[in-house]
Amino acid sequence: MKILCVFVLCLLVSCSVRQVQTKPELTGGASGAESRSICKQSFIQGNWQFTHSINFEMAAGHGTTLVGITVLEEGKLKTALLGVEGFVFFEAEQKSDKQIVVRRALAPFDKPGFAEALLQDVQTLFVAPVTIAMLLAKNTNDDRVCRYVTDTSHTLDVLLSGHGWHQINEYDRQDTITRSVHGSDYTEIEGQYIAQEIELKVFGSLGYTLDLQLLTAEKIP
Amino acid sequence: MLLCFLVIPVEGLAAPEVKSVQANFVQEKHMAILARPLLSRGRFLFQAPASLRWEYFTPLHSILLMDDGKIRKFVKTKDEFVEERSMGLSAMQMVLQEITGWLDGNITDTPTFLAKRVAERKIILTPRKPALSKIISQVELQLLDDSGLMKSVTLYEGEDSFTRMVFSDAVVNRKIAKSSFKGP
Repeated sequence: MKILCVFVLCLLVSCSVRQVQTKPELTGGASGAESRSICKQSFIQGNWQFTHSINFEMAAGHGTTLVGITVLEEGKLKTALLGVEGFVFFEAEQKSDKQIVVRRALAPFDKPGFAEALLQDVQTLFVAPVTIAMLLAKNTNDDRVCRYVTDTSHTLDVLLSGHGWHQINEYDRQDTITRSVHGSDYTEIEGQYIAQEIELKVFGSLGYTLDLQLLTAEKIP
Repeated sequence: MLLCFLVIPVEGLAAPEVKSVQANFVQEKHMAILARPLLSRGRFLFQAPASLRWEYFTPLHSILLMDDGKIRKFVKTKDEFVEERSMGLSAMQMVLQEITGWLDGNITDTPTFLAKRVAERKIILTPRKPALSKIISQVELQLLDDSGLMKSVTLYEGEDSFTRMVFSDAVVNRKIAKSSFKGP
């Protein structure tokens, strides 16, 4: 009986360990100019203004719907969170040198670290990462993967489809997944494929899930 | 943003007794970061003394209901309305209390705003308290004509950010079903 209990305990521990997603092995990597171009093109090009409805759910289960604005313009990233009625809760800009300027932040969006975390999320969704190494390879499912290694030793795997990326997974230094993004229901707008639905998950005890539904997408001069 | 649908008493004219108001609106959101304003469309229903249905149809279908002193908010997500317990409802409650005060014709002396008529058909409301003025710097009411009906409301959140609502097809004192204020 004691042996059975130990066996079950080991099985449960191994199951919980397996549930933590870790960085997968890739095969056949290439990092030349063509690979870099393929990977860069998988992200949206040019200047754009997007609005999304964002259903925001915390790990504790509380949720709300906001309107998110994202503007990509000349290397700058601008973002705002509004109530459905148009009231601005948060507005910030990340300049081309990565400096963040917060123009407005009302509670609860005025907490330390919120601006940095939100802009990191937005950057993950819309901007090809600037990294110290990049590789185009394949995973065990035969998906093409652009693997980026950042200057903070994080890894970003961007899984490609005919529409650009459809899945992005971010791993920490221990190769444990910290963030995942899944895009679906792509629509062609102004020659580029835009996901109508995006799910972003941040893992961990302070994790959260964002469900984004595209409201508008406009190319801007 | 919900300040807007009133019939404002105009000097020299007898103030109409307002039992209900309903109108369509187009809302423009202007911000410095926006290359183009965000447009929303909706309709509101108001039944005196304090029942309100404020509904946006596009780009996101949402409904704010005020009835029997309670405020509820619903957002349509994947073809069904979900009630939200979101932040900002206390701010809404404050604004709605202002509205009921204005219906009594008491525009100038609300607990929250100071009102000033700056032109024949333009009234500026400014917050009394500094804390609120950091969030809403000013509200501008533009009357349609001598009838007292509202043409537009512009809510300023700062130098570069404002929300303007333009009303149309207003109907005063038409019967509104009570069920309109009970749920989506």
